[in-house]
Amino acid sequence: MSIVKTEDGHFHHAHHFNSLSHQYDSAKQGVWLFMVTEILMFGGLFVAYLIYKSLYAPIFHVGSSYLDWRLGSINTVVLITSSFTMALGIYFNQKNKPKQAVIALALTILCALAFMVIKYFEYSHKIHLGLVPGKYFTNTEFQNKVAEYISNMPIESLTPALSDANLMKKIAPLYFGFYFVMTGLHGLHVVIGACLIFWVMVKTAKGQFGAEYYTPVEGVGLFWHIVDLIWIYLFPLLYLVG
Amino acid sequence: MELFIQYSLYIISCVCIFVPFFGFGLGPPVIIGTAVSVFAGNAYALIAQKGILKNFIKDKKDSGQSGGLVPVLEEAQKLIDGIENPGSVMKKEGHHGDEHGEHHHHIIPIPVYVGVLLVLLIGTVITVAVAQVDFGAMNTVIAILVATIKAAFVLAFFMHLKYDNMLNRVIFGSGFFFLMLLIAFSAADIFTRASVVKTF
Repeated sequence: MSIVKTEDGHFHHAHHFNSLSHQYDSAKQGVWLFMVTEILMFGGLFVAYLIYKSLYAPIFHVGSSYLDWRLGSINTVVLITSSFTMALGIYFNQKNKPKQAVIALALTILCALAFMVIKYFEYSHKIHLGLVPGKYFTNTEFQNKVAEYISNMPIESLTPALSDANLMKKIAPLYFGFYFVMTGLHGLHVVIGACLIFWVMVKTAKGQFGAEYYTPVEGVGLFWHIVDLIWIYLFPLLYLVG
Repeated sequence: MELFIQYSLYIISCVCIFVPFFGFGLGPPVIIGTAVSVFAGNAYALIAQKGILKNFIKDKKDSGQSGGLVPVLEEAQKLIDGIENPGSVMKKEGHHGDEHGEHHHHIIPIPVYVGVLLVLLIGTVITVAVAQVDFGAMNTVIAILVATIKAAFVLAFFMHLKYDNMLNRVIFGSGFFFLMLLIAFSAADIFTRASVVKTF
């Protein structure tokens, strides 16, 4: 970063930039490019989800009934609140109020931890029920429910794949494959985001940021909002739409 | 001219996406029509409007084989100069110039953030409430619609995109554009090739 804070409390930009603003804009543009790669990475998973949902809708319908939408909604509120406190963390840095900024960032980390704790309970419940995809899938009740759901569907809306009972039994764990990969990748982002917020919180507490220079806070903030943004789409698709 | 060609390519690719839906009666005539008109327009611009062909032949006559490359090299040199002295470009924008780089970032006041937070919470309540009622396939559409509105608020205010420079908006918009392309082509493929469950 090579930002140097001088004794009179000003910041000096790196020599290959024209000004602090120039450096800020360049750094932020780099973060935005990174955000595009994030959107495309999760976008691939969303497209896979949509394709398989349109092919094997009953699996997704029964699968989402195994998720607790109350826990999902609590996590949504927690993540939205953390996005708000993150925005406040940037706001207080812009206003030269490091103390309030540290409090806001600490609240953000707390929200991230709360999110992961709820996630832990959800995951351990699923693992306990044997709803892990692959060879560890032991929950025959789920497969029976899918078969029952398909048998209740009107005959004209059945496709050849849905009529094949053996095939449906075999691919029923597909929903939990999507669930664990999508929320797992998102959870990894939450953990990394919390570590990054901790890093900028420590730097804020040390007085290394101010109204003139707060680029890392802004960059980490963008990352954190993207994590929130992805959850805004993940929550209804996995928990509610079935 | 390059812009014109690129836009026509967009038109062609958009038409390509819808070919599986509307059949081959509509697609090929539009594609061929666009391609022919672009080639005609391009040729006209090259020969008559800019006189590029005339200049090219003249340059060739003047300095042998490599003559056509000279203007290109000059342009490249200009570009390199521009990169080496970004200051001249930056100063022109009249953005800043102060030694300490005085920031003029738009600071969004806290009430706006609180408002956005409320909108997001209300959106969550709507999403959950709507999911309890069975609207069939509309459930997915409503969920995605509400999620997109929420996402727009996060992007505009929390991520400061409303007050950011145009380039960042274009960068992020391009990400969504290519995601839309991926979704559109995948949907066109899956809905025409495989048998899809109609009732969601």
